[in-house]
Amino acid sequence: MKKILILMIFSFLAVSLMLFFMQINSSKSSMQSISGDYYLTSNAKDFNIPNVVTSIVTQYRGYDTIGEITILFLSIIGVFMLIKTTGFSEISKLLQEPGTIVHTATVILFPIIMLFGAYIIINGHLSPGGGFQGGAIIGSGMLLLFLAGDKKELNRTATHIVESISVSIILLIGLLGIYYLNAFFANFLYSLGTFGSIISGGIIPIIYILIGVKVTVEFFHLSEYLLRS
Amino acid sequence: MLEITITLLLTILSITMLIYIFLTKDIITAAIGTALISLFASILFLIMKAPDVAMTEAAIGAALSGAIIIGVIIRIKKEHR
Amino acid sequence: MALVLEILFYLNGIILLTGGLIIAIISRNIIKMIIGFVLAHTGVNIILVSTGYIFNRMPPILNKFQQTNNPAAISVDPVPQALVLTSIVIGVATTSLFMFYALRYYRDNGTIDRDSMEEHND
Repeated sequence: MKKILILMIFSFLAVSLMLFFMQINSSKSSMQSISGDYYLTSNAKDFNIPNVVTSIVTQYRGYDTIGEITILFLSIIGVFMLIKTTGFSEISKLLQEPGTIVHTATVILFPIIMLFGAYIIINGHLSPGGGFQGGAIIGSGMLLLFLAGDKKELNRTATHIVESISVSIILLIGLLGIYYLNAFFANFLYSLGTFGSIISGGIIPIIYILIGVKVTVEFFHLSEYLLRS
Repeated sequence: MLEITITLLLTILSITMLIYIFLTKDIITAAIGTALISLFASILFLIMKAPDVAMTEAAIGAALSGAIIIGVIIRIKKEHR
Repeated sequence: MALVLEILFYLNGIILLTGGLIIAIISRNIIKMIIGFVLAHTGVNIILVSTGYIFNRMPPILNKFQQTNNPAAISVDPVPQALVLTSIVIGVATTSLFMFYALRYYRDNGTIDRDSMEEHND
């Protein structure tokens, strides 16, 4: 009885939400939002890159991205604090011994996955992709190493250093923008390269590569922690 | 016309998967169903002309999120025995 | 034609949103509640992106010529896409935090049933 009541309430809510959104959409018809119009029109003279979404994520709304990596970092700190870790040697007891197929497939697939992730990170300002997508691909590709039974101890100090250095360089680039052009995250390398080449868009590819490194290390820590918890 | 057909098919598949998740008792099946719904959503994002979001959803929503959920479930099941 | 497509997008998103919330409220298993929240999150993302969709337009990846000649008339709205890009990454972070809370809850109480919390408090 209670379940049926909940179902009825939610279906009523769903129908009313549906009507609400359809009303918004019919009044919008085929117009851009004001900010979308501005970003699309001024992207060519501001940053000179094809992918408008990348320029919004890294430049027009760069503060959002800084907040986002902070949230990612905080949630992983929360995960670290919740569960007591066991030693790395315990992993081999918990995972079952990998078969020949998994081992051989990992040897062949792992470098290709790394290469694909790096390609997606580097081409983030020219084609769909970027730091978050490529970082997730590399970070979850490293889970394959654990599944294939790689018993090597991870050097955690090195990964922590890489992570902190990448975030520090992102903030340093933002501060250099204040020094050169009086605005945080201002694109002071604007005149570099021609439209559509890898080295273009000024600081955008640099920021996206650093975000990619950061996201890779975060997700790698998360997937390693899953096995160690 | 092709877009409408694909979207209709994805909607039907999503609803089927949702009902299956609602009814099933096995949690691992439910987690795999979640990853599948994320995959359908990523195709939907591609139809909505959002290739960046589609890639993110396929890499993060389907693969990584599903891996984390299934990993924790397997850990709990192992300790339960 | 365009209206049918937009209605289908909204339908998909809202069904996922409400279905996920129903699963989160009704089910007794904590992990199934978390799965419900993940589904609701996917539904919200679909609704958000579909507000920026305009029929018969290009994705916001344009060459030099298109960007200098009135790009707002040939591309879909890029702002919801950038926001949803952020939202998905935050979603996986919160999902992992949820899941590890469930693991911690299991280790403290020996069960993942939601109703066992009331018995413990007595």
